[in-house]
Amino acid sequence: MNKGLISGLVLLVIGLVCGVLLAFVNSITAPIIKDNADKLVLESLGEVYDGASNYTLDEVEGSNNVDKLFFLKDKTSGDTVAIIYSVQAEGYQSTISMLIAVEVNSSDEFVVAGYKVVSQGETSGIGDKIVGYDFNMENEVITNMAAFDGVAGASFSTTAVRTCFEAVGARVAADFGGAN
Amino acid sequence: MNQKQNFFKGIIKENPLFVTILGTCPSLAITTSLENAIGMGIAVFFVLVLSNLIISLITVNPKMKELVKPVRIPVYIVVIATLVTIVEMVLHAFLVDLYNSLGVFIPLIVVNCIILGRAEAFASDNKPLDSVVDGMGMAVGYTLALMSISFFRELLGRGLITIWGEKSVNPIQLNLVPIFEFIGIEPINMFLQPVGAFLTFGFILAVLAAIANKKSAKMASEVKQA
Repeated sequence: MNKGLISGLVLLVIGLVCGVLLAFVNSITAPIIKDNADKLVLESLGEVYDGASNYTLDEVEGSNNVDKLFFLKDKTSGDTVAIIYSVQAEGYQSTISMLIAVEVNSSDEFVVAGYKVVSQGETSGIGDKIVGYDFNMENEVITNMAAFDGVAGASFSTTAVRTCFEAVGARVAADFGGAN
Repeated sequence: MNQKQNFFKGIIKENPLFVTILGTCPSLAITTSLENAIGMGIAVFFVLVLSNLIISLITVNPKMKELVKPVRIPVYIVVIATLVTIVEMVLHAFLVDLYNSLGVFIPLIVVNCIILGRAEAFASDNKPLDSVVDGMGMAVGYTLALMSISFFRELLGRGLITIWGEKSVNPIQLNLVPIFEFIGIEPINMFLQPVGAFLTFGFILAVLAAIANKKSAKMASEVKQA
């Protein structure tokens, strides 16, 4: 048989063995990865919206920067109490993911009920200050960015966070015809 | 060369980062913290030792070696990529924080020159045990090099080194902030930037070169006297 063909077959066999091995490891790790992600979402939802675990959750796929919408609904009436947006934007060296909770206040305005940076890989000591930072958006109307306060010295990371808020504002305006 | 020399050559004489200057791109990028350096070192250790072992097992038979020869680079890449993907999946499942901080540099281990270099230069021509010992030595040398760079970068850039701060009740900490405060300066953020990585790497290389030069000058004078 052609020597080149045999070499190719050897490569094919090695590739198949590697494929089987990867499938085996994936079958072990995939459920754990999914559990971790779900746990993170539930924990994060609770942190951006008090008592999130007391409501039922409807998950809807998003578009553009907003990749998911979590509708928190009252268990008895089924009314939507708040919407938590999972949103992403590019920072200085990583993708910044945020959860932003929006609810309707007594004046029928869509206001920020809470927010959290859930994942980022920004520069240690500079860009990563966005984690836990008070961007002064609590209880502000989501489409009004006038009150937004960024991290000094971390303009790329701050801009990414601002983009996240703006994306949610745009989505609210598109879905509900304006922020109020 | 005995196994001890085989192991220690990777740490000092042929250190992949400080002597052969291989795999510098991810090394400089991830050394912003000591924790990252240790994590990357462990990932590279796993991949390097196993890839050396598997490639050595594949090529230990002369007939098999002859068959693999025309496709050896794709074979190395398939083996290394499989091991790196396994490391990536395991880190993603069990060490999410480390997985997030190492980011894109985990899949990039596939094209790390150290691993491909050892596969081609050592594992393909040596016995499995020798290849494993070589891989261990090289990986330990690489990890120590990463740790030394990240130690200076994190200490000077943040003033504080914390290892496993979120995972442990008693994290390992080295705090220089009071000293910075006493002198009246802030930690030097530049060391956490790419420029800090190059500076630290350059300074360490310069110190090592100075030591090597001093040693060879001493040896030369001893030879002259003799």
